[in-house]
Amino acid sequence: MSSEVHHYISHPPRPVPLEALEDELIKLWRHPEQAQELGTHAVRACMANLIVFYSPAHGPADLDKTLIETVQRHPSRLIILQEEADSGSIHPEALVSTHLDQSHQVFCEQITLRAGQNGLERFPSLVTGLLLEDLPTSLWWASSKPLPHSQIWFLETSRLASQLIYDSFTWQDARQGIRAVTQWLSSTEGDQTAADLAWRRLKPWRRVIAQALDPALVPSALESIVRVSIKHGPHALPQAWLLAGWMAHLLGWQLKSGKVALGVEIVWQFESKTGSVSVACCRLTEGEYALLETAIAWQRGGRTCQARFRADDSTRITVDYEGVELKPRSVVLPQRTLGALVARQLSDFSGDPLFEQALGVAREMADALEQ
Amino acid sequence: MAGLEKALVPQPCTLIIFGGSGDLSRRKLLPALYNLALDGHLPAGFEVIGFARSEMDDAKYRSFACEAVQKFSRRPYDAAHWAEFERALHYQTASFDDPKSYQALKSRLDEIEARGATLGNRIFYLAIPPSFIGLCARQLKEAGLVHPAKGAEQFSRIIVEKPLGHDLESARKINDELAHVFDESQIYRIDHYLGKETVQNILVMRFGNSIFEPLWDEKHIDHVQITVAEEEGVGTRAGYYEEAGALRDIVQNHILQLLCMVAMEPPYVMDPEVIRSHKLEVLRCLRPFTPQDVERYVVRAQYSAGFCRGLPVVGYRQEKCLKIDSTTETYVALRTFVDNWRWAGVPFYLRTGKRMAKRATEITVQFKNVPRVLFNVDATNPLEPNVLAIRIQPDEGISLRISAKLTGARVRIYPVKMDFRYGTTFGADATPEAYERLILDVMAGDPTLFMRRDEVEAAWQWIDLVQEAWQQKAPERLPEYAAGTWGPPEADRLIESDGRRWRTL
Repeated sequence: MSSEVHHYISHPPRPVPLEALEDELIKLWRHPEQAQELGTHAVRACMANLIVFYSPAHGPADLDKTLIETVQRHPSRLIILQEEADSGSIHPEALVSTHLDQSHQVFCEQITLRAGQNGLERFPSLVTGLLLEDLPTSLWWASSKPLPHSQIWFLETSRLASQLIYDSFTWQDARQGIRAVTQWLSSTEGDQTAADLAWRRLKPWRRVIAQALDPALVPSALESIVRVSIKHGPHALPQAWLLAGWMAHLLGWQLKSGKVALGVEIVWQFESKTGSVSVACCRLTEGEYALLETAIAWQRGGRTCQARFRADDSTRITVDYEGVELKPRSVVLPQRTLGALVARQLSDFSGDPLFEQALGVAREMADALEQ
Repeated sequence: MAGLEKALVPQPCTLIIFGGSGDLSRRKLLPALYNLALDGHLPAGFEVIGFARSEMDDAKYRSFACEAVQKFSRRPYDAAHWAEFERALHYQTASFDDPKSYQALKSRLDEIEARGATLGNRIFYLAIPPSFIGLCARQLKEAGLVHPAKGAEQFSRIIVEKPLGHDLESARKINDELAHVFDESQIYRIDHYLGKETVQNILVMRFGNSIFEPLWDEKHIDHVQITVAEEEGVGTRAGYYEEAGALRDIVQNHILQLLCMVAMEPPYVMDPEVIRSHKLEVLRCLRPFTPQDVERYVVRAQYSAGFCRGLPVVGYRQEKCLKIDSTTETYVALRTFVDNWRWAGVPFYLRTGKRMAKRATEITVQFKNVPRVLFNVDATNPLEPNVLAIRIQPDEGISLRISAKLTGARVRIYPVKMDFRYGTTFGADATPEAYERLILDVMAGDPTLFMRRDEVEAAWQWIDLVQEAWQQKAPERLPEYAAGTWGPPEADRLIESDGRRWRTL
């Protein structure tokens, strides 16, 4: 957590009747008591609407701190939809709180709506009335549960957003998770985008792989790849699939088959223009919840060469080669908190076509495991 | 004659409120008068007579008014101020068709005016259904309660509320009935939207700044949207609404008045007649609908059951006192054009509805996008166009959306908003209610913010084309939209077929 968060004054949530929410929010900015604490003028956050779906049993720990960091970096109106799994209530309740960034003199308001499972259908009409107009709207699915892509309340809520943010690191079942996301995407008529925070974490990996295998540096390596071996820690399987999907898409590989071997390793066979490519994802039982190592092997003059990318103590990615005369190199692996990642994604609301293409291949990889 | 920028000088008078014990009086008029008193805007000689059917005396009326102020005043009730204000309140029980009631009113007026402070000036506020307007005007004349427009030292003015009729013919009839008694200069046709700060600010924004008006034409503006969205259902107005519908209730008056303010040519002077004539020109430039146009470019619908702010609500036909087979529209969306040099080819999309996603009245002017070069080359991901949003309610204000570079090494463009809110900038207490301003204008004799007869009739003439086309093709059922949403899919298709989208407010 950034130390800058300490510059925040957060006022605790207070209950507000649903019918009085709008007036309460207007009043909040007409009489900003926090401005008096600041002793100066403060402005209202006006960059985005961020709807967050959260379920205490399945959400990130310390969501409040994460969100404060998010709005500090990308001032937004926060609308938190909290599922109270144990509650049978169909009547949502609302709480309003505010956060003031002293250093930037920006206020953000947070509206928390709580309901039991039976009250979720009421969320869309509540959220609709709370969105600030003219601002990009994102929905962050901050839950380890798969997207309920066929439930009406979710579809109606997600339609209010131009971007759906999720984090596949939290998934219990990667196959189910990928299917749910791709099914949701196929229902959006192309006017909404999805963003996996794991894809954003993958960016340094993609960059370093692209640089290390650049044709100017290692001629013909990319078209001669025969094997990709990815080792990852717990919960990083979807990220590994996205990495493989990214390579397969850009290099034009066609998926042929996939199978689970030895319980912790999954192997897929692709066909490239020059032959077969084997992609193996191996889950290590220990280590960070992250990609840990990737080895890419290719054929050169009848012998096998390899570039091995390894995350060293989570701060650097080191590359070393076998079979080619290149010195090892390393790049910094930026450390981004969850709040920072979400904030960054909010500004990229128009989507990343490359991600969706990689996700499409990942979906094929998931499907291939059942055939 | 005072205009928008000049100080108002309200004249001493007696305000006679027809329907003084009704809902409008309770919610708006009495609180407005109280706030004017708090601000010291009321003239020294000012009296009020509530004139209505309820049986009350002065004391009961003061008690009724006190409750209204405590509940609906924008500023807190203050006992000391109230004690002073309530002395001006009187009540006369009335039957609007009974000449004796008017004689009783005359006696009350004589009694008040004998004290001299009001100078004998009278303002009749008809907060009553339109069917009573002609009758009341006639009775006022027969009772000798109306001073002539010219040649009298005292003035008589009459304020009438919308709706003025339900079509051109009925509007003409009401206007004729009024004209038998009052000169046009004495008639103040109220549309409270025109009393809102932001609506008045449209003219200031357009003609008091140098940056907007040069862009205010078909070369730079892609389209205009005007939305009047209501969260409430028909409530206690079911009977009236069933006969009126959204087109007559909102489009004919509020929306067309807003459209006039946005589209009118610059007046050369802030004179009421000049401004109203310029607005009339806009109404006369509205492209007339053919029956085929109505079918293609006008969408009507009814709300069905749904959720409003998380609470379940019934559909329109299930509301109390309504017919199960009603085909009254609770939603209208339409596309029109102002066929003049300035607005040639610029579509105006208008929409209004009940039980929509939220209460919001807004005019948005969307500017044309930048050329597809430089930062806007990606056809699949075009830059967001500039949008000027004029928010009438709630939280009146203006915002301008522009594109800005996000900080960082790469050029990443993000839409940001420059926001001005009356409540935040000038303080909540500084924004008067529309009725305060409008009542004050009548006292001062300034009709700028009131509709002239020809404006009202021009608006009806245009609206009648839609009504007539609808009557020719009466459907068994209207399209529906779930309560708590932004309207039916038919309305989305109306605008999306032009490659545009409704704004999410």
